[in-house]
Amino acid sequence: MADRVRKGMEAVSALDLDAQLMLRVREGDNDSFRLLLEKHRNPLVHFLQRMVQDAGASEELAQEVFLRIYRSRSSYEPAAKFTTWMLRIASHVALNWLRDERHERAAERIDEPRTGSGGDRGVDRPARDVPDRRPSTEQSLVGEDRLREIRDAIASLPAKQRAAVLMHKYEEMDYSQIAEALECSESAVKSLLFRAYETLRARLAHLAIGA
Amino acid sequence: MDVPEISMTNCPSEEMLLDYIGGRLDPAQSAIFEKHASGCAQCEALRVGQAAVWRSLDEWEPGPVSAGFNRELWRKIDADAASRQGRFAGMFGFGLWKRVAPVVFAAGVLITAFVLDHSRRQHERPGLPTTAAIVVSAGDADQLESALDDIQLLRDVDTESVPAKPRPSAKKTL
Repeated sequence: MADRVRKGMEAVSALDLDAQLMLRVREGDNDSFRLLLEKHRNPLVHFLQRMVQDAGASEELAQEVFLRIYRSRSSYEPAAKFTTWMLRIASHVALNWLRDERHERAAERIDEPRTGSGGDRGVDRPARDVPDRRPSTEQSLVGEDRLREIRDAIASLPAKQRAAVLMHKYEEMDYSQIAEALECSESAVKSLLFRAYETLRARLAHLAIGA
Repeated sequence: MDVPEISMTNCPSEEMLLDYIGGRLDPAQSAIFEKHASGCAQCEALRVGQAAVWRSLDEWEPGPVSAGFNRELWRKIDADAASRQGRFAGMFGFGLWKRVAPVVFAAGVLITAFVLDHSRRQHERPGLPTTAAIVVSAGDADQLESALDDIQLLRDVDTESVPAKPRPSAKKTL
């Protein structure tokens, strides 16, 4: 076992510490998995919060990502940076959720029109759907309306553009890493980003004037 | 990163603009871009617009993560492991038997049908001796032996002038 870990370590020595930890997880070291969890839990949940804009669902999706990582530990090979690999799984999970949620909402609109304060989100939806729209320190500082506009602008982007922007802006990933996470070419990533930022500039231009 | 030549008439790529706004250009490249934008209305508008987007996105702070996140994750990991073990056991236990039972039953029916059919064909084949034929042959053997005795008796009568010897009684019992 130690020999296998050492060989793996040599292979990823130029990569990152996370990949080394993951190699230890592969050999059955759960403490290494706990370290990875502690390090990446918040960034991953935050990425998914921005991606799906649903606090409860984002935590469930983050747990699904970690569960998949843990499940695939025995076949893990450090071919890419750990965070890139993790965000690739997260993007898959989030894009699937958004697709299913869109279908679900469309079906709800057709089958049973909702009434009440829940709006189109429905009043009897599961507890996970409580959105992350509770007033926070930041929201009270910059104003609920302003933040809602920013969130809505991001939400208006097609899912893949949204993922590309979030990775570029918040995860500070370069084009090649985003391309790897989204499983597309670098030129496709640039195209996604240019179109996304163009939309955001148009939608958020008035915020710049007011600022 | 390859930086294209920037002049007052040659605008930088949007990629470079994104890198500038994201703080990913080195100081020398940033200075070149700023000098160009100061004299190019289009690039300046793009720079201002993109900077506004960047600032807006900076304002969006995500919410806190639940305190029970890890506990819930480990519960899911344990449940997943238990479920996988259950599936494994099911595959090689009653679950597997349930799946293969119809196949085993069908195979049994086929084999039985084949054996019965084969046996029937054996009985119907004309060239092969059967048990009944062997019984008939045994009866013929008695008759044959009796006929041979009679021939021997006639031969003795023809060749000898003396009266014929009585036949041995033992042969009659045959």
